Amino acid sequence: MSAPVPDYVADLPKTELLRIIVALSTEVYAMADRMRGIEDILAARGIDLASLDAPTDPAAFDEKRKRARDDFVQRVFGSLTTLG
Amino acid sequence: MDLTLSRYHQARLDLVSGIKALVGYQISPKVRARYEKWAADNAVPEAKLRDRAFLGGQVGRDPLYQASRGLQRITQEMMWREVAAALEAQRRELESDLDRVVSGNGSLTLDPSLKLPAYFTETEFHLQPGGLWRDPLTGPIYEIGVQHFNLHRFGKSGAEMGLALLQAVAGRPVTRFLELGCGPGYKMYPVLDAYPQAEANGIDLSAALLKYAHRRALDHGKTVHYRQMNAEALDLPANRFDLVYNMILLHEVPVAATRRILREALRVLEPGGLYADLDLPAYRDLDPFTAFMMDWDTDNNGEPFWRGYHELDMKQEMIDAGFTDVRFVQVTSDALKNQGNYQGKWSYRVVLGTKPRAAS
Ligand SMILES: C[S@@+](CC[C@H](N)C(=O)[O-])C[C@H]1O[C@@H](n2cnc3c(N)ncnc32)[C@H](O)[C@@H]1O
Repeated sequence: MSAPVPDYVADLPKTELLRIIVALSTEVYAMADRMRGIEDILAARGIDLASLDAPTDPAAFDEKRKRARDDFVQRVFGSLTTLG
Repeated sequence: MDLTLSRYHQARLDLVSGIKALVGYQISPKVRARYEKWAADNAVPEAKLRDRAFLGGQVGRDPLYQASRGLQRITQEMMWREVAAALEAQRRELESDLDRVVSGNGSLTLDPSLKLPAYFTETEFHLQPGGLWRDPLTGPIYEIGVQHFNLHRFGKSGAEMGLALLQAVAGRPVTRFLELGCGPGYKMYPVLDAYPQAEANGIDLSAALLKYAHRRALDHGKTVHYRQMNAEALDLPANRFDLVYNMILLHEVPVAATRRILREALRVLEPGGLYADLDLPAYRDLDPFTAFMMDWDTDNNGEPFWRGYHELDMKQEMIDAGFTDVRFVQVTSDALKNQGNYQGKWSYRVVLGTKPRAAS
């Protein structure tokens, strides 16, 4: 019989947990995006990784980027939209 | 100025605004739907729905609502941090670019002796660290942050508010205009384009924002005279402008300051001149749920004067300040398509008033 698991973090504010999730997903997302970029580059031109950090215009928001982002947010946070 | 970001930093910002979009487009509509069902099922009278404490007791219990508010607060803080981090590598170049004296049309006049009001220096508006003045890169950080805050709804040029203002001003001839609280200045561009012959002037409290506005205007071939001043006490002669306006300025100042600003606007207008204040509508002109949701910003999004402005009787304030022909014009936002942050059907409200011809 395994030892019961008490709620070790019962008094940890949930907002702080949410903050960590958001921070973590930002890290993961940025890495996933970077991977996609590497794959694109490798596929198109061999191993020239320099253009991976090509500047982007923050004022513009292209549809491909938006779709990838929204899919990701949905996968990670989708369960929140059905609370209650 | 080159404000492009590395793909890495842009991805981080994209994710933050993606969560904001989830809140705005998926979670908030569900919170509203539950509220509407509850209000209808229980036949809750409108007066009760307008009681914020009462509504807070109901809507505030909804876990969806709680999740949305937690995420809103966290992503707003993260957004500013990410923008600042993204620009950090370019900080030295950007700062020296802003300090470089560039010849061109227009002008920049700063007043290092200007006493900044405490409501301005002590508030981190929209939770932007350092408020709207401390960081020399306040301007670029503000512009990029606002694009993400607004979920890119207002287009690449951020022109929507300027276009809404023009719609309210309705083609009246203008020869010399003044924008109060012009900030980074780009929202003035549609007005400049509509009145290419007019003398354009912008004032603001923030030297950092004005430096950026000036630099940006030069980069975009715009001719504007920027001066550092307090809109409550303009260092400008009376009867000078035929149009004075401000966009989302008055919700950033206490009501007493709004009253002084209205009087100053009247003073510097020539008789017959027009004043316009563009902002979001008053709570009473919104449905109770939208008003309730909007009010959250007062205590949670660095907007301590938001509630005061949105509860003010602006028509009466304008009349008390000495304006005539006071009226409201509602301009529906194309970009929002009735999908504002809280799914309310809000648009802009433009308050218009004329300086009487007999006054001076
Ligand atoms: C929310 S921002 C809006 C800026 C600009 N109108 C825009 O829409 O991008 C408010 C602006 O008003 C300025 N401001 C606040 N109080 C002021 C005052 N008393 N006199 C002049 N400017 C003021 C701030 O520095 C800031 O640039």
